[in-house]
Amino acid sequence: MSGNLLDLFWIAMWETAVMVGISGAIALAAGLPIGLILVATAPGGIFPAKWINWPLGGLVNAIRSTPFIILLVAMIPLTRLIVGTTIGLWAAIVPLSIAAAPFFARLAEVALREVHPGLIEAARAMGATRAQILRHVLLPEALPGIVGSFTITIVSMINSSAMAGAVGAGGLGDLAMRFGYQRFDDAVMAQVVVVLIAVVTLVQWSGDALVRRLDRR
Amino acid sequence: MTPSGRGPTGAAAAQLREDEGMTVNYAPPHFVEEADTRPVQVVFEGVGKVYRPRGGQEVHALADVGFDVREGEVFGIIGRSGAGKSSLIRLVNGLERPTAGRVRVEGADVAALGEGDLTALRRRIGMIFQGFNLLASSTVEDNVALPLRLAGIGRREARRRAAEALELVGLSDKARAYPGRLSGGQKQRAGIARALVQKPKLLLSDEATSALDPETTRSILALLRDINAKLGLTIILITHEMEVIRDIADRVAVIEGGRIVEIGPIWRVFGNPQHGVTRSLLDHGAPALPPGIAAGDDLVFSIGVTGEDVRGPDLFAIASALGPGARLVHGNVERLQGRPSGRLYVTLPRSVIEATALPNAAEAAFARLRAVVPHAEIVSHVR
Ligand SMILES: Nc1ncnc2c1ncn2[C@@H]1O[C@H](COP(=O)(O)OP(=O)(O)OP(=O)(O)O)[C@@H](O)[C@H]1O
Ligand SMILES: [Mg+2]
Repeated sequence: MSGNLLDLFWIAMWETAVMVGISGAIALAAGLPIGLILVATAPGGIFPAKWINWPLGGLVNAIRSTPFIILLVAMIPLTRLIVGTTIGLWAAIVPLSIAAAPFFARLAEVALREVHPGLIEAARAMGATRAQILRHVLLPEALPGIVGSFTITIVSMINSSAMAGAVGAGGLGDLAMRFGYQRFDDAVMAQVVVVLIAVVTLVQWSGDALVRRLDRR
Repeated sequence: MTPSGRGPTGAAAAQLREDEGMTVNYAPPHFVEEADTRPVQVVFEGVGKVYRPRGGQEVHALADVGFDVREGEVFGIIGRSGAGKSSLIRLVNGLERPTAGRVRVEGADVAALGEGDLTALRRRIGMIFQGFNLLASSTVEDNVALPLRLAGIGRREARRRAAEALELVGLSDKARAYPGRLSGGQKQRAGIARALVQKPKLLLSDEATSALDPETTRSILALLRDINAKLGLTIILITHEMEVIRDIADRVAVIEGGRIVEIGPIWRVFGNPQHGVTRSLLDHGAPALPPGIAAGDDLVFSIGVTGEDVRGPDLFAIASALGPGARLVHGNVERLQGRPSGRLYVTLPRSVIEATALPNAAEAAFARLRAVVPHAEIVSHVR
């Protein structure tokens, strides 16, 4: 690999890391509350409210069923509104976050729903308020599951970020497309794929290790 | 048949020793029941509960339930699966609301309490569960401290009081362990410590020993009895294990199809069950007598020892009523709350009856027996 190409690799990896890192943080910050709200407002939940649960669930489903490449394009006006530009790293971060938040929210919802109802009952019996049930029972008990869900979300975002090249955001996927696909340089494409496999493996492995540490069952 | 082996304690033991003394006790056979003067703590007034599940059929879980529980009492609730036991106990701390009638705790109508008052009430009521319901993500110590933390008590003070509660249940050495590492009995001890950490006046127990082996069950019951005596804690206890009720409760209510079908002190309900459900729960099966006796050549009388007479069955009266040839072939008498409880099987050879040459000799013998022991039956056929 030439020094020039190696530089391109480092830059692409950095771009991917920034894209996924920032979008991941946003997805976490938005997705976890959405997951909590979905669980709490579900029928039979601790704060049943159809009028919140249905529209929110519907929105989450709508975003999740839209292919990312279409979301990327459809989000252009919104992206311009939020970051003032429609190309570059930040232009990719907006659609990536918007796609990842509902994805993570659904996974977190499943993890939260798996908390044994007996624990909620015990908390109610000891005089816990609903907010306390969320804070002291649901979140800590679901934490290993939530960390596992977030790992899956990050991996899926690394995948989606490859398409971000379409809005000029760069990254590893973009590198593979430009060199591998457009210039028929199979070697670069293969190298990118190997790097991606390594990155995804590392992320998954770290996530699993963290889950093991947190899970006291 | 009922296993024996538990020695009576305290006043009951004193009574027993007195009964066993050589002096003949001429107290009247039927004792007047002492009125319980302890203040009432929980009152059910015509309580009904109908579940209306979404898209499902209505379930009438409770109907017309009325009774009260006094301070310091251990009150047992037994019944078959689905009888409504859990529904009933969950009304006490407002986990469910009655659809008819009222449940009062310390005078207050639970369903009418606002959120703040209900929270305050729940902090005065401890609850333990069949599945323990401990947070897997917290240490035993933090689990026990949780009710205090929820009540706004600082971490250090909460930990200190949790340590006291763990001491009380004998689990101090596991304070830093996670529940996943504990045995069932240890988990339930942690659950009890958590229920007691706020020093409640009332403890609700929904099948707290159902997931435990018999020996662990006994140790948990001993703990509950100890706490009841030491702290004067009222305990309402659900179970389908009769041994549990027999070991620990003062009074018992039998519930079937959402209604209370029988209620009273243990010695009476267990010694002389009136309702079919109680009998089947107690499983008053006939004993297996050897074929020579069971074949039908002998008349077999079954005599219930029901505890109205504290002194126990009068053997001389029984023998005199039946006359020569009467034999005790099977029997069991134990003490429940100091009163005798059990069943005796007495036979009379048919040859003896036929020898009298009277037309109704068997009926006459039975009538004489009924005159001295009211709870006697002729058992025509014993397995
Ligand atoms: N939340 C609920 N919604 C609908 N029906 C319910 C609900 N809870 C209980 N029931 C029904 O009410 C009846 C009484 O149930 P309950 O749990 O009180 O019985 P139980 O005596 O505690 O039984 P078990 O010994 O099996 O615990 C049952 O028919 C049950 O199916
Ligand atoms: Mg039950």
